[in-house]
Amino acid sequence: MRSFELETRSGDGAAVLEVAGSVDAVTAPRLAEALQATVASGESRVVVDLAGVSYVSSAGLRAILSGVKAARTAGGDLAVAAAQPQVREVFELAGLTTIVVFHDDAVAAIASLA
Amino acid sequence: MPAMTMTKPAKKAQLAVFLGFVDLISDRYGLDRDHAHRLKLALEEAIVNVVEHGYATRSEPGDLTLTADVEGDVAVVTLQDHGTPFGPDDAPPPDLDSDWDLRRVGGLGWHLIRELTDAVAYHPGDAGGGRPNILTLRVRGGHPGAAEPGGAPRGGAA
Repeated sequence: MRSFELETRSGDGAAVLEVAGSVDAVTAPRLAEALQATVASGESRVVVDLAGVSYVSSAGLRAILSGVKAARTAGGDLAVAAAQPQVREVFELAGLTTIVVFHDDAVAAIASLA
Repeated sequence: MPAMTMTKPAKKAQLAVFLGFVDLISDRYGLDRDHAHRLKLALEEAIVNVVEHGYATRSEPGDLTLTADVEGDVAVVTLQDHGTPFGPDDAPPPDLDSDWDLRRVGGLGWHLIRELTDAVAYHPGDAGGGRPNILTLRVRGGHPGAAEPGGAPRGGAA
């Protein structure tokens, strides 16, 4: 089942976007919008928790790269947490592991942004 | 085993249906999970190319036909459409190493297709004149017969 769920929570020193399902050409715009809205609301420290994500296509990479740009431009940063190996591989193939910082879990990602 | 085929309107709303084709292929040809994942990613990029470039100027999307077959341990997936040709040589080279503030957002489709498959062949058509664009993706890693009841195991008895 190729579903998509997104939940945003804040209060730990960073906004955490918990994503589940597939981030593909159909669903990625929802992640992109949520990231832009989060930064626009004043939260420039952002964690994207991909623990529940099994699939990210180039549309998802675009959403996250745009989120990184928005967060850094606003003086913060974006960190990715709990990416599964097959998801991380796509970031590597796209040359994005030099830009996007990966952490084992959301707690470590939040700590890295403090 | 005969080839499998699927034809649907080339629009994003059909993406899940098109990508479900990979699950059918995987079951039938015994693609392992890693190779199925790679094929699905490559196929999404190729489908999005057809939707966003091939048929971008049409008021109504044309059809996209997927065909899957197996050659030994290689899964062969073919995409046929009648849109404007958009092949690997029609896209700018990907930006893989600029700093974050200069990194181009997008333009990764053909790069990922090449990286995720073992072979790619693109034959442009005549933009709606009857001869389709044909993209062929090959992914090694199938185990033909492994998923079929009674099918011979890979490397089975001669």
